[in-house]
Amino acid sequence: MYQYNERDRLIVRERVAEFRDQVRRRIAGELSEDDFRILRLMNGLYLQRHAYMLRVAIPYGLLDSRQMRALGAIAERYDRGFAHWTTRQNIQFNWLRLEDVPDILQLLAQVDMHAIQTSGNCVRNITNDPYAGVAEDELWDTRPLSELIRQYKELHPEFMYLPRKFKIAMSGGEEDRAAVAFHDVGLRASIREGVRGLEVYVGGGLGRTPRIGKVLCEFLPVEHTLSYLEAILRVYNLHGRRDNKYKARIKILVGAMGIDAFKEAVEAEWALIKDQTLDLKELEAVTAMFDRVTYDPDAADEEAYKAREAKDPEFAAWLKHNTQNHKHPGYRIVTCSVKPQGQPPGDMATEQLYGLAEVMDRFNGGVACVTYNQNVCLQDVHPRDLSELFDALTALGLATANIDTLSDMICCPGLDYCSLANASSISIAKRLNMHFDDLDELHDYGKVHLNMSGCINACGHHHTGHIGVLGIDKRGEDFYQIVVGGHAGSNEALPARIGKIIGPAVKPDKVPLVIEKVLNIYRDIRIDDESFIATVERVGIKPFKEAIHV
Amino acid sequence: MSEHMILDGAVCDTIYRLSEEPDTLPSPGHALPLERWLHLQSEGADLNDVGVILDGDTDPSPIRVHLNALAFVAITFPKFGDGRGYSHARRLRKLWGYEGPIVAFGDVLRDQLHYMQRSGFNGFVMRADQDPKASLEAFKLYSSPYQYNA
Repeated sequence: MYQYNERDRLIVRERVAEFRDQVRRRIAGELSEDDFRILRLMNGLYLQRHAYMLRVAIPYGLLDSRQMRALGAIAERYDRGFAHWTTRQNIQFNWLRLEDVPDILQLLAQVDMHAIQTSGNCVRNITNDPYAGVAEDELWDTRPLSELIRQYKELHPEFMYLPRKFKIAMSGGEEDRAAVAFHDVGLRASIREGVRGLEVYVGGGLGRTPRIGKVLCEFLPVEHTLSYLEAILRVYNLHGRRDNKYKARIKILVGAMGIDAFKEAVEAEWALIKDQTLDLKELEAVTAMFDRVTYDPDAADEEAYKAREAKDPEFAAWLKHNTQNHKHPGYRIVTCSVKPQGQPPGDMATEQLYGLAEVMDRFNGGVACVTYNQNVCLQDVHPRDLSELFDALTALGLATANIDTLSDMICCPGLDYCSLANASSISIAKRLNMHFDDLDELHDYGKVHLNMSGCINACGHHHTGHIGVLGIDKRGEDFYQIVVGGHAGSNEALPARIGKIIGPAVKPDKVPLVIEKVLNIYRDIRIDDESFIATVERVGIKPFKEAIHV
Repeated sequence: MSEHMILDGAVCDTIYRLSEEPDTLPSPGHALPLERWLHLQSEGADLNDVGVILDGDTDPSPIRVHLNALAFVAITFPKFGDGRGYSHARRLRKLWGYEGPIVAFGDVLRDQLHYMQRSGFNGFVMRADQDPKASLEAFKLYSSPYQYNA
């Protein structure tokens, strides 16, 4: 992965010093909460229902074991022994005191981490395909370019006070695993006549007004990435609405201008800076930092784990559901499930963070990648290590064989923590976990992405779940809307989709029953091994509407 | 308006102001709304010591041909979360090559100075509760930022 140099370290240390002084002035009463709010948010610090929450950046999800241990230490010392992975490949601590935050940031700086722009109306953490660099279907490794975008956007003087937050995602595979169509800017790798370039999407997003991004540029040669982004950001900064925060995202601007006029404005701005191309030598130097693994050419011949696979059904299920093919034959990409029974989705305890750091060192060259689904994946596992790795992850409670099943759900913190939420989402996750507690049953339903949000801000991405659950408040009571047919990624067979509501909102105890009915309808009408979402794509949501009446 | 401002990294008396009576001919060191400035300019008025005001809603492109005639450009910040002025300054300074003073007015806090300076501002008439002298510290925050061109 990328290795910080002295300049990177200096910038982070100087940012900590700047924020420490802002906290000092806030506590001394020299800064009002109104002023401080904007300043703390652009450094990832929220004031929630019970305490401060700090969101720590994990650029494109990659982190090393030293960083994982530091996160464990922060959870242990400053939080209540937990941390929470987010859908944007970051991590959150939910129980902090303001006066501790500068010291926490200093601890993070010691391991080359920070909370810069993890919140606020600025360019947020850039996300990427968690399988970047190792996916079988990858056109080219997009992580080095993600890193250069990270550097470009970090503390960019012009773009710290945008109309609203700005999220960029990047994906390098034939299949999009980073939901690029649901970001303010989405970048998909492309190759034309041997030249690397990007397909640029703009104006996608979830929240109150879900939109699928539109193609702004079909092929942008990589050396133009930063100047083109700058042109988009400048047009947005100058013309995005600032009178209504619910209409301030770039998707609203693109919708109001129309994609053609928006493109014209971007091209006009870009013409002024088009000659500021990216130094491809720098990109090459950064790329070298990501090429760290020397792969064993004989890995595909490894047989030992197969004996256990044949006689140990739990190990076999884990292999089947929690590991993926790797571009180097024999190697596996292993996803650690942070969705065990009885724990809020995406939460990890201190001991798990420490334990996972050790696992990373033993089996994956000391690194790991956080996924969009709030899990953690180990990208380069040698087949000879699979058996031992399974045992180690089982001991940590990170080996539930439920990846891509219903219980691998995305869930926002909801009313339990969040001051925006209308309804509880974690309690619904618990209900669903209790209701669907039979792994064999989950495996029979196959790949089903269930996403839950506690309010229409849609942090749990309910619009893009194959099945989505949205918490709403009806006269002081929690109700839940069920949507079906959303799809975050896209490939040739399945384009990105926003799910549709199948009927009136239901009470909490009905949610598992409705979802079970939806799945049973699917089982009745699926053809052969057709997946849930493929079935919905074929038949529409109409057959599922009756599920609401359980 | 504060009696002191920051200009080129030092505190001085406030020498740049927004005109409060844009309908009369302005006194030196005052800035007029863009439309008014253009109108007076077209009538041949003496605007040697007069600046122009850009707020977020103003399209600055008409002044591009008059850059040499501007005493200074005043960019206003009605709220400190409103970042349009940064892009105005950047265009003026880096893309159009304007070399005169670019002065920030309004909700200007010490916490923005570093970013404003790198976007092209060199003058700051700060919010009344801000201490310009103490705020000079803000220029020392970062030694080597990421953006080679900003």
